[in-house]
Amino acid sequence: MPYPSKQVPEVGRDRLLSWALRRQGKDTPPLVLSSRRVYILPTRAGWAFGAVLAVTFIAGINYGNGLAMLLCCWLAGFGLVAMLQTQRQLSGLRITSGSAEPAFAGNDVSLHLLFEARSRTSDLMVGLARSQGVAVLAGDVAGTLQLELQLPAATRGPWRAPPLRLESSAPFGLFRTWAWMQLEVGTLVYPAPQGSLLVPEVPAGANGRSRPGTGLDEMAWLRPFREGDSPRQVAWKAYARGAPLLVREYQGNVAAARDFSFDALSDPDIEARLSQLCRWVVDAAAQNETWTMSLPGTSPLRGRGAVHKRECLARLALFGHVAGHAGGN
Amino acid sequence: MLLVLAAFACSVLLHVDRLPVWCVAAAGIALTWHLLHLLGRLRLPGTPLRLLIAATLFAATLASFRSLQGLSAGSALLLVMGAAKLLEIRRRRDAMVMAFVSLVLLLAACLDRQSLARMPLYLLAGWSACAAIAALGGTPASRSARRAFCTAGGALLIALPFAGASFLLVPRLPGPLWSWSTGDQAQTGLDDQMSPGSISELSTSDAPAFRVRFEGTPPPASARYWRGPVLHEFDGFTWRRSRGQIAPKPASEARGTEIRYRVMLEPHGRNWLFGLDTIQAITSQGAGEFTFLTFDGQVMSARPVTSLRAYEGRSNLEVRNPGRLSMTGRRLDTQLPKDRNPRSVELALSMRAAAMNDRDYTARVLDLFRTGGFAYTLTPPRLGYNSVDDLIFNTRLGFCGHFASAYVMLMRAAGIPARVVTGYLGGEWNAIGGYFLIRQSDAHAWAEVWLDGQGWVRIDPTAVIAPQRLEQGLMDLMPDRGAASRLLRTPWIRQLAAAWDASGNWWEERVVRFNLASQMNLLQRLGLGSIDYRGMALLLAAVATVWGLLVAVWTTRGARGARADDIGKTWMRFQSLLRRRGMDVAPHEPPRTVARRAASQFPQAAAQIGEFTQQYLALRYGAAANPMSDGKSQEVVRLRVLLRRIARDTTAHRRARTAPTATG
Repeated sequence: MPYPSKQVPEVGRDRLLSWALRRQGKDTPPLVLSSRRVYILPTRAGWAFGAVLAVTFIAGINYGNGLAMLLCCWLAGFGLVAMLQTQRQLSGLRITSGSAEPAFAGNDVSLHLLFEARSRTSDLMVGLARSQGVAVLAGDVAGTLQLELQLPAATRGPWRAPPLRLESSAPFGLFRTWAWMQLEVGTLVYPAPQGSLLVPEVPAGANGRSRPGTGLDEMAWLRPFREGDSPRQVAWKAYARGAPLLVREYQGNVAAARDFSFDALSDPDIEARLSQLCRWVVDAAAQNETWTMSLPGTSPLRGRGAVHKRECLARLALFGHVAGHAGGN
Repeated sequence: MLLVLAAFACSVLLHVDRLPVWCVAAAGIALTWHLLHLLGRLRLPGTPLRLLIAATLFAATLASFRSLQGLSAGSALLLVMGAAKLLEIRRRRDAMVMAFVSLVLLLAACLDRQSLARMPLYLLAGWSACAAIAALGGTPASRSARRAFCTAGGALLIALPFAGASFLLVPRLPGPLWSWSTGDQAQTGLDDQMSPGSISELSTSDAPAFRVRFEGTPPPASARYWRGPVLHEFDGFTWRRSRGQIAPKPASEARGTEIRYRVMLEPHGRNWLFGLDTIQAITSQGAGEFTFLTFDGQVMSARPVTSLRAYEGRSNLEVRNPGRLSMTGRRLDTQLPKDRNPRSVELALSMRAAAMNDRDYTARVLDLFRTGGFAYTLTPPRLGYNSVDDLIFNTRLGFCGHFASAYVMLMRAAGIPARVVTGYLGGEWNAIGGYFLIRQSDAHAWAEVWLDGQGWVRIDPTAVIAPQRLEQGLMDLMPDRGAASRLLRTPWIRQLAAAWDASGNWWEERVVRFNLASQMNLLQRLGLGSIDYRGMALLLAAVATVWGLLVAVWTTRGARGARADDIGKTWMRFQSLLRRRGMDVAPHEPPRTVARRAASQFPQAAAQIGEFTQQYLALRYGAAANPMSDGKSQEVVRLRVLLRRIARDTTAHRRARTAPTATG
């Protein structure tokens, strides 16, 4: 059902939004929405209810009809309770934590928010402050609520959560309450993994093997499984015997690294080059290969595995940006 | 959606007895149609058919009421248009419109009918309309009917104190700014004409005519003559009010103490008001309720009484007219139709000739009624063309109207000015409400005779024929009219009926008719006599603020209690248990430390404490811990059992420690 949130005209809303955000400042979770920053206005249904109330009042007072007056007073009280209850949907709501996962450009950043409702909150909607769209629509919330917002990440670089709008018109739909927040939550947007160039071969003459994990290497030791480890490295036999998931670590093929060099690429477009590098990094990581990535102005990074991949991707994401901008991830 | 239908159905129900049948039928058909649509049996009509239906209903309303002004026509229009709208509900907005239509229909019903008996239905209608709003305002998840009713009911309950306070404090206007005609309805009550038998028709009706509250001691039943229409014109069969002829009002002087009372008159659709005979003055509270006393001593209102009307009256039981009756007055009240009731005229002339004077003549005629074999009955036989002849010489059975008619006719035939006064007699004391209830069955008719030097004298021939009628209500007087009437006379049923009537009267007086005067009265009693509109607004704002704060505090407190989950609560209870047992437990102390210290302090319960803490830690931080668990699980129950054991063991420990000191 389309949600009627057209009360505030766009231009006015944007000015209001920037004023409110200036007033509120940045929000670092955990935070509690105080009533000072929870706004409320009647919806169209609310205005219609007000009109009914006005008619009732006029009729009651004009005819000196106590019953109509009583009806009017009661409905007015009902309206006030509706207003209080709607405001309470947001006022006092606690945002326990917010975090975002890195994403590739063109994909969506998932923003994880953890709410703690002071009382029963229902029909909470979370969306972008600057657009009408409502991303998440929750039914009843009692206690803790986890939300995942998919926000588009268009361009490479450090990413900061856009101003968000929390709103609700429960329980009667007569009022709409909303709050804006500018969360201090950020992450990185990696370049889109694109490019059609073949993965550079392992430099000829290097003393190593191009395909690790074939069993010819010397297995050095076993270590506990970490996320990102290739299934091929898992010691399945040991697992079958009842041991926890263990991963074989090898020695010997360290030298056999592919060289992903920014300068070696000929494309004049920097972003295209970064995308190509990203493609290679992702592929190499998926193949559990070892690679060296070198970007101008930084020392080459050499290694393998998930941590290395993340480091490389972060460098790619921040290439040309000041590193400090990458908020706390 | 079902709730919207329910709300609209309730509102239609409110109007069943006050709008034409076809309106209600149209609404019923639309409701059924939509219900079948919801059940998937029937499709809603297409746009052309819908427009046709709406246009037809509009035209029908216009034709039926001939105007769209007025409460009845307005609510009929709203009702049928709501029914038409019901056939085109597609979006949530349409449904919301229906909820508001239901509310306005409720308002219309409130403006028209306010009796206490209807209140449950009104409440239901208001509640279901609010529930419909709640169901429409939420997301599909929160749209279950039960949930919507709970939400709306809760909000309405919370709103009740505010409603009460603002009802008392919202400033009122002294009178209406404009008025709608509410439409004439046929109502029972005294007519402006009286034929033999017309009053006995009323006597079967238990409907209330009016209620009276006296200031001070009420007069005895035999003096409680409630004066209504005074009838002057007689055609030999029917008595009528004087049409166009008025006489000067004779001078009067009142003796004795003035009796003050307040009347709550049920609507009867006529212009006259009732007052205790002889009425001195009537004052209405509301402006625009203009009343005046006519030359023949009845109170008329400028507007027909179509809704409950309250007024104050002042009367004197002893009034005389020292002067002479004007010529016009004498002519008006001595006229008789020619050639009617010839035997009665003859009788009157002969009796007058035998009497010494007018006063003696009135007594002789009364004697005739007393000793002539006349009997009082609720079911008198029909009288012929010469009704008085028929009564006196033939049937001798009659009701109050018959005797009054005959008496006045005999007076007039002898040249004495006389008139028939209709009204009510007596009334039933309602001890709970502290007022007299006068029913339609108390309707009465009596005679007034002009005696020079004395003026108009009330003579009630019924009083000599059936003296008990003066002391008792008609209900006690009449022979059994079946089991139902016997049942009505059982004491506790009467008590119940009196209580019901008293609460209805309280409702009418204190709530429905709460106006500027009663508001001022109330404020005066609260010691706020000199408060003005601004003060009242401020007071109302203060009350509203306090109420709002209370509501806010109340709701937050309830919520805070709900925040701690059951696992955490159990731990907190453990901490407070230890504090009660005299141990210092800091809130920040880790569970294991607390447990170690507790175990050393209460060695008896050490095992339990250890197990409890283990369990708690496992539930809270263990591998299976679920941070979002609402804790209604068995584990929590086990935790609580352990806690109870600890409580028991630690008390035993304490007793064991204190016991030796007690014996030693």
